Amino acid sequence: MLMLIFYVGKERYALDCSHVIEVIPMVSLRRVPQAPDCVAGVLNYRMTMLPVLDLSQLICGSPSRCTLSTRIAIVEYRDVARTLYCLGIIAEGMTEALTLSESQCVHQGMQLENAPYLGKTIVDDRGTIQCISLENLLPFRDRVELLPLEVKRVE
Amino acid sequence: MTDNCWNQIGVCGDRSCLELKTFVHCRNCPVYSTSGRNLLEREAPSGYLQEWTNLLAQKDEKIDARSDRSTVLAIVFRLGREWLALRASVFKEVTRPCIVRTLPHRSNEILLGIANIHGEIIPCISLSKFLGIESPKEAVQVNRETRKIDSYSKNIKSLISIETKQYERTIVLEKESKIWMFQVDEVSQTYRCCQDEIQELTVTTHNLTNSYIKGIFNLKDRKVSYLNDDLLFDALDRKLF
Repeated sequence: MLMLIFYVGKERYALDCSHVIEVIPMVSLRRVPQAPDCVAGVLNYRMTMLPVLDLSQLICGSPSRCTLSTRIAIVEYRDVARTLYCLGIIAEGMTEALTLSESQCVHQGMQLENAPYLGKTIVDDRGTIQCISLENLLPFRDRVELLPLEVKRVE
Repeated sequence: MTDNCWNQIGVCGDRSCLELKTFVHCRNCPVYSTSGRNLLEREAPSGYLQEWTNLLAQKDEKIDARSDRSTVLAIVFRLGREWLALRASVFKEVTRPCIVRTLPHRSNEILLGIANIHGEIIPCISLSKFLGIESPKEAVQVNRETRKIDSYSKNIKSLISIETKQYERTIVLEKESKIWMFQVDEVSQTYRCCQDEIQELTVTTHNLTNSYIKGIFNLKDRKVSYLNDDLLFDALDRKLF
């Protein structure tokens, strides 16, 4: 499987590329009032409004620096009810994709209640990579609810 | 290691770097690629954000044109002079020509026999006979005339046999666990075509071949007949078993 690698702080994280539609450069976003800190804003992505999360803010509490390698991955996923959701994810150092085998993925032996988005761990020659599980990326369902993709289309 | 070691001890310098023995060229060395990646750790220049914001806010006409209309992925192949296409999802495999063994009392001009593909016994048909398309040999004659190979080579026959042999392929189709294979003279490419690119045939041109043709689309300067895989599988099933 192909994994998109990015950095939060000094640590490497990975997203399954099968969920990634496109990786775009950092753009200016419209901030949403009253939204939690990790919601960086909304993005006009080819006439579709998408919510954008900042992973640095979500994981270590400081916003991503604005460098050329800080990019937005446009991702989509389906929940249990097969509804399609689409959002943008900001992370630093998004310059690389690695082909990894399923056997390199191991459970990290614990599940955190306040960080359910942390998935399996990948071990390679440069260390370990933490996989992000998109379905559980929004730990605060009661505060932010994503709407299915069709609803947000601007005509 | 200094900042630009490749200019001092690497391939652009005096080549004294010990790592060169392992990596041969600096571009294979992690120090070099890490430095390259580090260029992206610069602050985004002014105007960069705004430029991309504007670009991404626009509707992408190309993506839109494709995604708004439903498309089919087809694989284009040649039988004699005819260019045909079938939906890519019914393709199980495209492989080299293989030996077809006849079935006593069962083989005929359409059902050629059976063949062994990866240990699986698969019935082999002649699609050109089934569709009533001229046999490949006649087609080669035509090809020779049209391509005017004669003028280039004295040894035409050997040249043509090499040429046709090189492109011959076996196609294995699978749909709802029914598997068929047939030989084609060439498999050219996969092509994603929009539904409205496929022009339907006029009623007056109906004959046996045409009944399996869903429509025709243009691919460069060729007319490609897009076959109806449902009908084809149904008919093969009915007629041969």
